[in-house]
Amino acid sequence: MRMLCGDIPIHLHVGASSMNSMLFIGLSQMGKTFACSNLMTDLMSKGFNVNVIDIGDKWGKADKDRLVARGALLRTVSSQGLVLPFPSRRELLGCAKHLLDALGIQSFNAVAALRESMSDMIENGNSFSMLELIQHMDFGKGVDADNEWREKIHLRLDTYEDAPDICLEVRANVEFLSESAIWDLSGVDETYARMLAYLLLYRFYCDGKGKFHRGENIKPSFIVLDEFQTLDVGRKSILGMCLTEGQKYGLNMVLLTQFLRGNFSDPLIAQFKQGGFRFYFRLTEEEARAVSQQLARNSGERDVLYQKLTRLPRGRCLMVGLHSVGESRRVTDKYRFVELEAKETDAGNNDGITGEPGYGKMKKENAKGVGIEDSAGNARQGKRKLGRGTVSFR
Amino acid sequence: MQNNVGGSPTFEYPLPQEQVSRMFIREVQDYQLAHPEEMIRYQKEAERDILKSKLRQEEAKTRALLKMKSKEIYCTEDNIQLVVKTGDGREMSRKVAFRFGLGSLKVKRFRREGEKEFLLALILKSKEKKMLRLYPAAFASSPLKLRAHTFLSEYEGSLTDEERRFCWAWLQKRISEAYADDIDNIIPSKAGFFQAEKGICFWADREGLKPFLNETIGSFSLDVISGLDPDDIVRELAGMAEKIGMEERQLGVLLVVRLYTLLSNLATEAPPNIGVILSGEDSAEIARGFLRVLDSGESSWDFFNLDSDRISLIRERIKRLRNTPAFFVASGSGGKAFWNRFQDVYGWLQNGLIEGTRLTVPMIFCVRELPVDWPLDNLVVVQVAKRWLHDGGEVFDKLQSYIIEAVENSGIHWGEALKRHFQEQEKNDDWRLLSLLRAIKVVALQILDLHEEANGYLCNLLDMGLGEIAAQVSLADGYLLQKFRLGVCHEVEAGTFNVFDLTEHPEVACVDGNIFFDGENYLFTHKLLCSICEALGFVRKAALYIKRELSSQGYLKQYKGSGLRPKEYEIDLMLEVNDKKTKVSVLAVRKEFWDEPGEVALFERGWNE
Repeated sequence: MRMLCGDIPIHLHVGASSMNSMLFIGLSQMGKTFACSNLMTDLMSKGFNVNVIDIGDKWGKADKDRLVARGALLRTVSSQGLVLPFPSRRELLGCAKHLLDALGIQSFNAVAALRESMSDMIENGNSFSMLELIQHMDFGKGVDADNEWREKIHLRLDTYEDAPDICLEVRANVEFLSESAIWDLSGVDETYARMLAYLLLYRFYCDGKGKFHRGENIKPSFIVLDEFQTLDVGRKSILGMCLTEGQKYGLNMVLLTQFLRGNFSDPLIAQFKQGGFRFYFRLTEEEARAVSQQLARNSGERDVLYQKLTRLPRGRCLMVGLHSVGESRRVTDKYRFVELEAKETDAGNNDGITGEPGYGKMKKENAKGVGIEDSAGNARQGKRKLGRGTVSFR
Repeated sequence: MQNNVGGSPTFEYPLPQEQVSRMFIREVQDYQLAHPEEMIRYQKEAERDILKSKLRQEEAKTRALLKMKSKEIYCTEDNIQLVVKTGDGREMSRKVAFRFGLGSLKVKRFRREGEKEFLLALILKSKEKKMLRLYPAAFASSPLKLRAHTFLSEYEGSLTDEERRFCWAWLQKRISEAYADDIDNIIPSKAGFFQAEKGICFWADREGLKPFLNETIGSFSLDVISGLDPDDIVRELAGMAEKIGMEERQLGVLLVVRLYTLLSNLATEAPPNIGVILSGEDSAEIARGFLRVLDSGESSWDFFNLDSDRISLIRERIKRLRNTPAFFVASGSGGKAFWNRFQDVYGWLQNGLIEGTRLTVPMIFCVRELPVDWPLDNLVVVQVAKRWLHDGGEVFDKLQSYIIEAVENSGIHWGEALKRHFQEQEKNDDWRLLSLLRAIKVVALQILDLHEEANGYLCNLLDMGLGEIAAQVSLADGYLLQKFRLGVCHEVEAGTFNVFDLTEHPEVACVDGNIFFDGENYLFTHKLLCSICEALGFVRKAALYIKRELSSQGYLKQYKGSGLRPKEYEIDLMLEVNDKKTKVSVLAVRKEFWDEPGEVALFERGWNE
């Protein structure tokens, strides 16, 4: 995908710093998912790991196929199940809090009760499935002081439809993020889907943290969450932790939503500013006003921004993040109105991304924006301009 | 007192004369009756008296006849004579009344174009010389005025007062009859080309035309240069341009304007108007050299000072100009009185009318520095240089002389040709001015009939001039500004001009070809702006338009204008480079003009490393 500001290509400098999280905001049908899908495809072609957590048919087949064609694994949890290996017992037990978050339970006692149950099950065989966990919770009812919470947790879990085939295990020396994948949670109950999303995030978080702790070379990876407003993004939630601390561990969140205002509180919205890249598609008046106030330096500029943001056509967005302009190597973080130009057949370097996995390891030839030179010729013929599904050839 | 009572006061008066005569005749008759011999004697005496009386009458008659004289005029080939005869037809004397033959005196009736008053023309051809004078028509009806004001009095013989009266009355009668019999002959009232039935003549203070001149025509002289070769003139033209460093585009404009001034009124009575601004040092002198067709000498009929001349004077003089431009000199400082005059003059140019009279001459505004607030619509701006004065436009005079001579010698041929070409051009193009200029170009080249090389050069030169004029007159503000904006972006992207941050690289401010910027503005030196305009193919006037539009739209950083002086477009920057302070005058354009929020800024477009 190419990004054009006016008629000048814009190259995102992904991986040039530790701030690589991305936020896509815009009204429905403005091209967020399409743009994100293309951008992730480009990142994959640059060697970045991309994990898309689709919490229920948020991404269409075409969007998924684009990543699959680039080499991402499609993991349909409802049919294939999910095995989450944790390198240590402690880390596995740590997911108890996030499991309960998905159930809406925020109690230390509840966490303690679940941890105890999970601990019991690990001792039995280093792994357990979700179904086993539910049965175990039921089995232990009325045995000790934690029974009250066990009962509540069991009731909550048992209320929903059939639990998906999820297996948690303790297995040392496993790198969970070695490949790009699409975690398709469609067909799974909403609560379980949320739970799975948290578990996956936690797993990614643990993996990155482990590498950071061991001092290993951290390869930035991207975790995509579309319509993430359905998830808990509080500071203590796993998503909040990934947002605030994840970038340190090479864990970059790519979040897509329609609104920030109304869905999230102001402190949370402020938290999103930590994102390295932000893409604002057409916004509501309220959202546009907030964004323009946040970005503009004076009232005139604010008015222009506001007007533009509320009138952006499909396929155009306001981009904030490190980038370079045209053939220049100078990196700037100014905001730009860009037009997204996608290609049906990617030619590797023809995208709008510069850089490769690894902080500050930007290759010079990439930094020069080879996409411009390469864009001539046959590869151009396959370009599709984003916007109302029309195909335009340049 | 009592004696007077009851009686008439005339009672005591003597008898009346009649009564006395009757009493006397009665006494005489009584006496004659009494004495008959006395009566006979008395009758004879009476008869003698009668005879004597008759004789005296006869003698008186004869004496009177001898005293009578008659005056007659006799015209010979050489003079007009007065012959005095006695009553019996004997010639008493013969004098020369006028020393010219009546056959050599011609009387014509003239009227100047656009005027109602008729003129009496007296033409006297003698062996030695030919005299021609125009007088008011009223002279034809007055012997006294004829004698007092016409040259005929110089040819008067020695006459007595009575004879003089007789002779002048006779001559006046002849003149009056001849004047009445003649047809109306129209002659020009302004200097310049005048097309009569027989041919075209260029009217000015020239040999052969002096008698017909009025004050206006007489104020303009024409430099006539004979024996010219057009190819030599064109070669000289090319050499001149090279010598004085005049751009071909500028030379083309001046040449086109000069030819327009000379030939436009032959093509149409109402030529479309054109105005030219010559901006630069000694622009008035340069205008005088290159654009003036007729020389008004010290009278400076065609030069007006917009700072001081009365508008009524300007108005009246412009109305009487033809085939030579009206020059307006201005200091450019512009007080209220100046603006009033300027608005009037500019209004005439725009409307093509001066109080109902059609404006037929181009207007040339000469100013040292073109003021920022002058309107420029329909005006062609030419930046002049002092070095142009070295030549002074002599080549233009030669070219003009050759064309005038050719036009006059052709009768009405070139005039008709020009009209025909103009009509053809008008059919193809709605733009009258350009149609006329093209027609003039075609006819001028035909008149000159040059060889291939010279023809190609001159044709190209005129085309460049035409192109420049067309480009300047057709400028549209909004489009131009947009073109400037995009053009600068393109040139910066192409690397023609570099963009530097002034705070980081103050030294580049002194280097031409660099655009630099501070926190709020992009800064352009005058030279840089000229280079940009040149790179974008803009004419100089376009640069002025751009400045004006930028200013009007609030994109220019300007000093505050004082009450008298308008705001200037450029500001001064004080730069400190290598511990040396330098003052640079720059055009400061707000960044917003190029840099929209969220778009690639102008300086970023120049990042090509």
